[in-house]
Amino acid sequence: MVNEMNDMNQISIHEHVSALADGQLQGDELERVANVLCTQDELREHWQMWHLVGDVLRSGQHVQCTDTSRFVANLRQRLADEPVPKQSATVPTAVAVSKNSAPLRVEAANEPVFRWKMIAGVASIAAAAAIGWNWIGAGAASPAGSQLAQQQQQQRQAPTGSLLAAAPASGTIAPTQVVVGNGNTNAPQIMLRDARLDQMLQAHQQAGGSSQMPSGFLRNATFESPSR
Amino acid sequence: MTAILPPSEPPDAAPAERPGAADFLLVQRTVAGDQKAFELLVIKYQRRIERLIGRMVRDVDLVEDIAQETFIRAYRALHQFRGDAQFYTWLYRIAVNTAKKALVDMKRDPTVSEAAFRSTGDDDDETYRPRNEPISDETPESILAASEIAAVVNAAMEALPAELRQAVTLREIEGMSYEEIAEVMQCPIGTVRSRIFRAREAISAKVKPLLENQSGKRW
Repeated sequence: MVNEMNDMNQISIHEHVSALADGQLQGDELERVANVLCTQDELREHWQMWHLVGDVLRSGQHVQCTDTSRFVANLRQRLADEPVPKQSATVPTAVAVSKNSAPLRVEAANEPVFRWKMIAGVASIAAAAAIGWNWIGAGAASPAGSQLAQQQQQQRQAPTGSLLAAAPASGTIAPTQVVVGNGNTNAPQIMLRDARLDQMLQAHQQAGGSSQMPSGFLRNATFESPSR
Repeated sequence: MTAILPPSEPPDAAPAERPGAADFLLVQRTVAGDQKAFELLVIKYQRRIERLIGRMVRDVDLVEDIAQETFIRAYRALHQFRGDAQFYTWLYRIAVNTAKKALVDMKRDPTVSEAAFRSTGDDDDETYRPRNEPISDETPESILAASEIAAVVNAAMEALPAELRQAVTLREIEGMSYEEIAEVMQCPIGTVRSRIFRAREAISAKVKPLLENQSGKRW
């Protein structure tokens, strides 16, 4: 900076800034003067004044506007909350973009959809793992399973076995005589029933009676002994 | 709705050789973190942007807010400016869009203001001459100050030596480049540069006392 100041005396600096205001500087000269201008408030005042004068000369009259100093001060306050603009396109595209440069990964517009799919996949795997764990754990312990299997085996054997066991070995069964009456007739009536059916009903009552809930319908369907 | 035409584009050239190379350099410096460079751009274009917005909204209370919003938006998007166009062309579009949005937000009809804007003239080039427009917040004092400043500038111009007056006239009013002025005046470019600078300094010396009285005000 000091060297730049030494290179140009004060009048020359102002003259160069005047040329910069007209956009008539190029190359290194442009960069040097811009560098000095950005660091000296006194030059900024000249910059502001010259643009105002040019504005009045071009228009032939002065159109009212906000005072530039106040405008810049207000803007400075607002810009204090703003982040520095991203440094990506500070040089023309033809220079800045290299053919060999790796393309930036731009998040797709539907990116959240894939995120949800990933979450759903993980949840499915977790659910499958939980079910498998329960299944393996149940297979290792299996007291209830074995009991159930034994019970089912007994139930498969019980109906035929109990009935056959209850049946007399002779093979001929005498019919049962049951005395019934409805009260309208004086003489009791006798009903002959198949003795084999009575045995089957008794066996059924012994095997499954305790597991059934008592109900009127089932009670009516079960055998009532003649003694009642 | 009639479209607002942006300022005319300069012919294609390498960024360093364009008339807008200075603006582009200031943009580069801003993006690199130098906020003062952006303030120089604001100083340069604030008055033109306010005039442009003033034609669209015609409400002086809104003009400054919209102009501020315009520069904030420009600052945020500055990294997108690649120097393909003039900086003012780029800023102009941001200002028009910001003003339109403000009008829509206010449930006004933007087409009315645009029609008014188009009928009042062209703010597209450097030699544009704005017209005096009634603005709702003008006060007799501010009108007087504005006319006084214009009178002082014009008087200072008349008082300049002929070669200085000619040089600054060709530059500011005719919009010629230094090379063209040198050709017209048949003198070296360095002399043109010096004459324009001296003319500006002479005019500024007369205007400065007036501006000190108007500091912080709208004028």
